[in-house]
Amino acid sequence: MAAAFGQAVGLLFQGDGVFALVEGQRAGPLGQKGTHAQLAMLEMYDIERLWVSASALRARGLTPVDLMLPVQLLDAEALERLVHAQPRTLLF
Amino acid sequence: MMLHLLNRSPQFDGLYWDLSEAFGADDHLLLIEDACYAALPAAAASLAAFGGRVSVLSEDAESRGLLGRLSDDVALVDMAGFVALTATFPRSLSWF
Amino acid sequence: MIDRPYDVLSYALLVHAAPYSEQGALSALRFAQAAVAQGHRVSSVFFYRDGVHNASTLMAPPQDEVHLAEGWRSLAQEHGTELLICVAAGLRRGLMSAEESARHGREAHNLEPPFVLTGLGQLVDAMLGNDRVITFAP
Repeated sequence: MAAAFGQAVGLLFQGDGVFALVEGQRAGPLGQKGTHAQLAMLEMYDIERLWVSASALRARGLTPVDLMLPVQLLDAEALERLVHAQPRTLLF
Repeated sequence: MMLHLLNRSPQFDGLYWDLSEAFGADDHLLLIEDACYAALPAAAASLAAFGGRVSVLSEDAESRGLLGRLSDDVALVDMAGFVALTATFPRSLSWF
Repeated sequence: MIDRPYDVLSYALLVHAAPYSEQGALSALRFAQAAVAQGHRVSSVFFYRDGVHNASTLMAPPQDEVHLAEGWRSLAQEHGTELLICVAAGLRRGLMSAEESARHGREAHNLEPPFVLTGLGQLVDAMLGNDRVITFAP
């Protein structure tokens, strides 16, 4: 969203958040829109940097091929560096 | 230098793990709400990753009956101290 | 004379927590009161997700409990804090100003000033325009 206001934005996925990137999500019987459609359109908003905690992905038995978008995997050290390098961060 | 705010009890160990991955050497952790339970000696393992740089919000600990039961390694701060921590640390992150 | 051990800072608070279901909204209000007591400025509070329920005009808690909406109103009146409600989150949950209510052909509304319906752009502004952004989670 901030990208629409001219800010450079990236997204980091940790914990169960990595499931938001799993390929094959759909509304199905629930009729809920979910976030996968918005995630698939991220490039339109110039959000090209997607980071994923390597340990979170591994702990859930997933690999990058299970995800719907290309991501950059971060080990704990790289993740800490990234979080501290960003001027503004919100967690959801 | 970041202040991390945590509000979940140590039974949410996945969240504590996520936080530990992002926690830096100059960072500080403030336990609020149900995260106060992590300051009990029995939960010491849940705070092992944070190198003793941990405080707990006294009013939240008090309302939960925890004053006098908390680990000596965890500093008590009141609400004014919470504000002071956010003034000292330029950025904060809330984990939930 | 207010004791000011630190520089005066401007704060934006982001409240995700529903009133009374969880502690986050009360934590946020108490933090805001403590911050202004120390001489800081809480320029805006942005209510998002279930946090939008903090704005309901119809909130009527028992008299011996903290009245959260009243607490937020006092903060706005006494300290000029902007109370911003995410319009998309609010409409989904039935939080409507008189204007939105008319637009949707409804007969009632439950959101009044100083609470204001606004977009996520205001959140971005709040993040960029203040010294500190503190999130109070569910």
